[in-house]
Amino acid sequence: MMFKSLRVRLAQGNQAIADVRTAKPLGFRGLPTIAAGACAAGCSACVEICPTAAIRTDPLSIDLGRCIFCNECVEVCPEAKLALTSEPRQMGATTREDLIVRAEQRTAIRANEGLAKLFKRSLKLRQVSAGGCNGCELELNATANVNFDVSSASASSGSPRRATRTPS
Amino acid sequence: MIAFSAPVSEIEVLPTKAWAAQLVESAHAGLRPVTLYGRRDDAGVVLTVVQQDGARLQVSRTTVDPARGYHELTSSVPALHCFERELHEQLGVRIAGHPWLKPVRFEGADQAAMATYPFYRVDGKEVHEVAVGPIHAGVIEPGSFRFMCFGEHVIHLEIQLGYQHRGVEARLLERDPRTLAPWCETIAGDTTIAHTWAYAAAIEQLAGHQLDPQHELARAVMLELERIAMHLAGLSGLAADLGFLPGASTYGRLRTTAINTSMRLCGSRFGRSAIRAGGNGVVLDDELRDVVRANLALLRRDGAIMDECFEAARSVRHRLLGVGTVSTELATQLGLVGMAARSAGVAIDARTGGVYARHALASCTQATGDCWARAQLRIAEITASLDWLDRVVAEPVTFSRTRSTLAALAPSQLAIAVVEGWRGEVVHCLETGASGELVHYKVQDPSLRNWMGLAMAVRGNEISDFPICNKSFDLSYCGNDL
Repeated sequence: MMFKSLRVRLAQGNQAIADVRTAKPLGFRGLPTIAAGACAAGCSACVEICPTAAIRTDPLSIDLGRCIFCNECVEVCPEAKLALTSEPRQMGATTREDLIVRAEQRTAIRANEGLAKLFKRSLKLRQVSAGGCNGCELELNATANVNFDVSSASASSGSPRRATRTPS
Repeated sequence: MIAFSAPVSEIEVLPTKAWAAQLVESAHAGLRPVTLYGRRDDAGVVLTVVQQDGARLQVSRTTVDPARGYHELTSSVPALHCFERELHEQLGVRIAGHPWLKPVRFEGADQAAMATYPFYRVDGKEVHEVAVGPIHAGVIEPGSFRFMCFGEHVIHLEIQLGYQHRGVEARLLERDPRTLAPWCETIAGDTTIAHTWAYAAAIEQLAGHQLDPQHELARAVMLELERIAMHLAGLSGLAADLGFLPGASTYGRLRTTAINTSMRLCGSRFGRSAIRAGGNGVVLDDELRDVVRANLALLRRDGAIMDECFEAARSVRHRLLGVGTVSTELATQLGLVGMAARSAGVAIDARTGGVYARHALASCTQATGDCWARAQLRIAEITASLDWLDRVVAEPVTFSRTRSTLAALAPSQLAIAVVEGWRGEVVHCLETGASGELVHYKVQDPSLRNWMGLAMAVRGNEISDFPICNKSFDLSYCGNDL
C-alpha cells in the first residue's frame, strides 16, 4: 500500500501553477475588449443576441456583472469590434460601475491600503448559493485544489457554516 | 442520443382510463417510463407519457380536468412518483390516492409554503431527528435533509429541495427558441454539454435541420470529456469525505486536466459555447488533436496509478463496501437512471444510435448497488470514455466552428431528445403551437428521479454514512429545482 501511495505521489509531482499573476490559461475566454470607434448606424446585433442583457450601445459596453462569456456577441458582430481575450485577470472591480467594460483601457484594481493591511495573509471568502447552476461552486472549490492552491497565499473560501475552519 | 419527433396530430390520444391502463400494463411488460408531464390547454391538462422501447421512444397522451384529476398510478408503477408529484404541484392536477404527494420544488407562489414541508414522522420515545441544511458546511447548493434516527441508525431520510427558484422552464419560452443554447448551458452547470445537446437536438428536429455527422461527433467528444471530468470530481469529493487525501488531491488535479482539455476545444472549462442550435463552437485541428491525445494519455497513465491505490486502500474499501445499497429491484422500481441505475445492475444508457452507431461506446454496469459499486462504476466509465476518445482522435479528425441560422419551426410538432449525461439521462421535450411558436419546454435532469434513490440508500445505515452516500450519488440541486 505504501508503495502504491508513493507511486501516486511520484506521478503527481508538483502540480501548482507557478505564479498565478503571470499564468496564461490556454484557450480561456475572459476579459472582453472593445475596439474604439462608432458602430455601424442602427446595428444592434450584439444587444439582441446577448442572453443576459449585458451589452449597451452608444457607446458600446459590456457589463461583467451580467456577462457569461458565451461568445455570441463576438460571433455576430459584423465589424469584429468585440473580442473575449484569454486574460483571466483585470476582470474584478471594487465598485459595481467598474465592472462595465468600455473601449477605453481598464485601470488595474488597487486594493484599499487599509483593507490590504488588515486582511493580508488571511483572506476568507464566504459563499452561500441561493440560485445558480453550481458552476461557481465547482470553480470556487477548485481554487483549493493542488493546481490553484489558494491556501498557499493564505486565502480560502468556504461556507459561513464553517466560519472558523478551512473547509474540505 | 435518442430522439423523437412527430406532428402532435399523429400522437396517440386515449381516454384517461384507457391511457392509464395502457401505461401500467406496458410498464409491467418492461417499457421504461422516461417522463410524464403535463401542459395546460383550453380543454384541461394534457398529460404526455414517454416510454422507452429498446432504442425507440413511445409517446401517448390524454387530457384530464385538473379538478377531477385521475387515480394515482404510483402504487402500481413507483417510478412515476416524482412525475405525479410534479403534475400536482405544477398544474394543480388532483392525483387521488397518491401515497407520497410531497412538493418537488415549490414553484412560483408556492415558495411561501416552504416552511411547512410535510416531513414524514417516525414516532417513538427513543427516535430523534437530525436536520442538515439547507445551508451546508461546504460550498455547495442549498437543500434540506432530515434524518429520522434510532441512535445512529437511520430509519428514514427525507430530502426537501426547491430552495432555488430560477423558473427555468418558463424562462425558456421568453426568447427566440433557436437562441436558447447559452441559457440551457446554465440549467445545471456541471451538465452543460448534456443539457445543451438535448436542447439542440430537439430544436434541430423542430426546424427540420439535418446536422452534419461531424458536428454530432464533436458533441459526443465534449460529452465524454464532461463525463470524465465530473467522474473525477466525484471521486475526488468521495475520497475527501472518506478522509483519503491522496485520492482527494490526485483525482482533483486530474479533473483539471480534463476540463482544461474542454477549454482548449471550446474556450470554457464547463464546455460553454461548445454547442449551438444547428452548429457547434468546437475547434479541433492538427495541433489541438495532439494536445488532446497527450492529455488523454496523461489521464490514463496517472489515473490508473491512482485507481490502483484507491481500490487497494483498506480504509476506502471498509467505508464503501456494503454501504448505501440500492438493490437492482429497488432501482428498477424507483426508476433510477444513469450512473445510479447502472451501479445497481440496471443497464440504461442513451448512448445508442446516431454517432454511437459509427463509434460504438462500451456501457458499464456494476452488480452490487452500494457506494463501492458507484465508485467502481465511475472508474470504469472514465476508462471506457478514454478508450472511446482515443479511438476517435486516433483518426485525423477535425472539428470547426459553425454557426447556422435555423429555419422557422414546424407548427404543432413535438420533439424529444434524450442525452446520456454523466449523471444519467437528460430529457428535453419541446412542443410548438399552430404558428410554429414554442408553447412548451419540459426540462428533466436525472437528479429529479435519483434523489429518491439516495433517500432509500441511506435507510438502515449509520448517520455518519450519509456524506459518503450523498457524494456517491452526486446529484444536482439546481437540476431538480430548475
